Amino acid sequence: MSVLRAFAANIPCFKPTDTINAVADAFLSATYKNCLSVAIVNEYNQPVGMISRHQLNDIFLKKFGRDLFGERAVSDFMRKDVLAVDVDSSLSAAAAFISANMVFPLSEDFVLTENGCYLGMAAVLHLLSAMEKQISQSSAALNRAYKQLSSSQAQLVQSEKMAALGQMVAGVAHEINTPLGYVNNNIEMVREFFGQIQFIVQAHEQLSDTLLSPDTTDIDIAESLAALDDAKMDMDLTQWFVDLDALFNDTFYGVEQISELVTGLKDFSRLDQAVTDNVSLNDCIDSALLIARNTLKYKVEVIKQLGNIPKVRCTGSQINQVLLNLFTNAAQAVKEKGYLLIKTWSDESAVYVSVQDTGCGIPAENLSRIFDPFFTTKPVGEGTGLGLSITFKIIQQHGGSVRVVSEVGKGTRFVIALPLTQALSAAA
Amino acid sequence: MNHPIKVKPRILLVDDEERILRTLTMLLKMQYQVFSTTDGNEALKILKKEKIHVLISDQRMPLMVGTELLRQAKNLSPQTMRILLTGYADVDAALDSVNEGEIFRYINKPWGPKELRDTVADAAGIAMKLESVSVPSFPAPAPARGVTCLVLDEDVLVYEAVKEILGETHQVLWRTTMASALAVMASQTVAVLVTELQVGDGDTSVMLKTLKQEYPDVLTIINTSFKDTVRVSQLINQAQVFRYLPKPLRRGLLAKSLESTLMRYKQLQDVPVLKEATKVEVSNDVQEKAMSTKIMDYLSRLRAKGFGGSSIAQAV
Repeated sequence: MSVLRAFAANIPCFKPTDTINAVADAFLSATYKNCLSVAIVNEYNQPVGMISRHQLNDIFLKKFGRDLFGERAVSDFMRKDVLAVDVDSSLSAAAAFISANMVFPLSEDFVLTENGCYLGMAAVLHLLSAMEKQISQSSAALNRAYKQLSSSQAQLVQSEKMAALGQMVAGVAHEINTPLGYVNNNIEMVREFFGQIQFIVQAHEQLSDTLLSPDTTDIDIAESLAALDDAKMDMDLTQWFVDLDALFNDTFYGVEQISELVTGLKDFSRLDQAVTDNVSLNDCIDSALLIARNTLKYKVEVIKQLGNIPKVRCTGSQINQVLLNLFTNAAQAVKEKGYLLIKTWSDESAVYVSVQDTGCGIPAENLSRIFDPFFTTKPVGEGTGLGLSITFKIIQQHGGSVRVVSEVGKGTRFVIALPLTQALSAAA
Repeated sequence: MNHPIKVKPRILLVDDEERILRTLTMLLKMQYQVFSTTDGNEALKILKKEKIHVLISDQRMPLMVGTELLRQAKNLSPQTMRILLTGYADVDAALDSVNEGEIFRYINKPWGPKELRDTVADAAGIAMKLESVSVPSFPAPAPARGVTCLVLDEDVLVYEAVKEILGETHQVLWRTTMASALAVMASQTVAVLVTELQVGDGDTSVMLKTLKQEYPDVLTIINTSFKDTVRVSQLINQAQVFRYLPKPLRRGLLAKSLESTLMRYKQLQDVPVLKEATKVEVSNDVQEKAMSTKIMDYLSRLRAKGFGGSSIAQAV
């Protein structure tokens, strides 16, 4: 349904041979009272020109204008590039055409045509108010869409966080599982051994009672000795104590492993520290490596070349997130076995972290898109395509930069630079 | 001190964490002669040299993963009872442990010392019993012929695929509900059950577990789109499923699985003592137990009546 049709005012048009006087008289009549201009059409009812009240004024204002030009044909004076718009064209197309072609000051109406034939005249102002209405409607719609988008983007970022968190928790759970397994079993062993020892101690006590008692017979002593022998149950006590000692060492080692992981989790999340602080990136790397250990240990050998770098002012938990993301990506890029080389260094303006893997590499056509939100080459369900875009955003908010070089079949290297002095923009 | 010299069963432990090996050795060394190694290749050497009764392996190890070790162990020393002890919930590893490793038990880390000891005792007992009989070399010379294969699946394609593979030499039946499948089981000897985990009248897991107790001869192939480690491990421990195939159905894989299942069936019929090795653990889930009792009642009623007459759905 054409929006423009509603604007068409059914104003009679003129022929090219009509005189200026005839047009001028028409403008004075009631029919043309609201018209700024009228259309001139040929024998096929196709507009060939238009003339405005303003143009007629100019003619008549000249000395003897009416006498000299009044009987001339309107075709001699009309504007030949007709301001004509097809009734079926869109509001915005019409507005664009009119604004590009109308004369200033605004002194004309425009012609509406249908299939090339004259339909009626329409006022530019009507077009303007319709445009304004449409714009306010679409801006409301845009606003709604924007709100929806930003809430779903927040949800996506949240779900990426949850996915990363889930992966991390699974990894750490498995890391804790192993020491927990042997610690638990060791304690059970010690308890069983303790039960045995209790019998043996009881038997010893009985033996000493027997020995000390004045009216003990040889038979009593023999019985006590036999009871002690039974309690020992073939146990090689010396060996047991050696074994138990090893179990205790293992148990302490295991408990230490678990507490190291828990401390690591705390360091990684930095829950008990200031949000923005002077942070050593080397510490961040160690912290993220600990969390990623389970993902990394069967895939890559980690080589660290950490320089003596100054602390930088940053949001540590976010930098940890970035590093963990880069490390897990590296592990995923490595098919069977490979290396993960982590380097840090600094110059007078920035500190740098390089994360390099010997994985499958990124094809050139993908390299420019890896920081785009939702770009992923992982199967559906395995990657949200947000990891690196979040990384990019975090580093950007820190006033830093991320560079990447990659060669298919050889590996990929990410270099992050964080400026030493920076105005930290409000971190999201 | 005059104790009789007992021959202790031999256990082989494989885990990349030495501390696990040490503690498990301590747990088991009173009753067993314990060998241990962190390296799968070393484990295979030990398997060749010593007669090992029970092999307990971790899954994630740097040099050789557990399922690979179990697969090779199965071929190298088929009499050795195989147990996977893992803390890593990787569903593909669980499937491999069924299909490639044909394991006796799937145990999660951290393990309960008592439960582990009981399981090892079970496995060692069976292995000692099997040791005393002579078993024809593995694999069995020829697959069984002229047996009955029951397909329990709402998807006709599965039936058609099985029919196409076995139809010429074996009887292939098709049912879409557990009740009607049980009626078949009660009335005739079924060698192979090819089943989905989800059918018209519910989840088949409990039925499979119960069936293994009632009809230990039946070998089960599960063909399903359900893939989760907990479920697979329960079906290993409590139903001793022989194959677990993921849907969508792959015809080649199904054909290969059916062939090895029939071979296995023949072997179990020829040497019945081998059935010992498929002993199942009974679930201690209260609901499952109640359901299992219902299924058993239903089966015995079916058997008493001949079969088929009663209202079927009420049992399950």
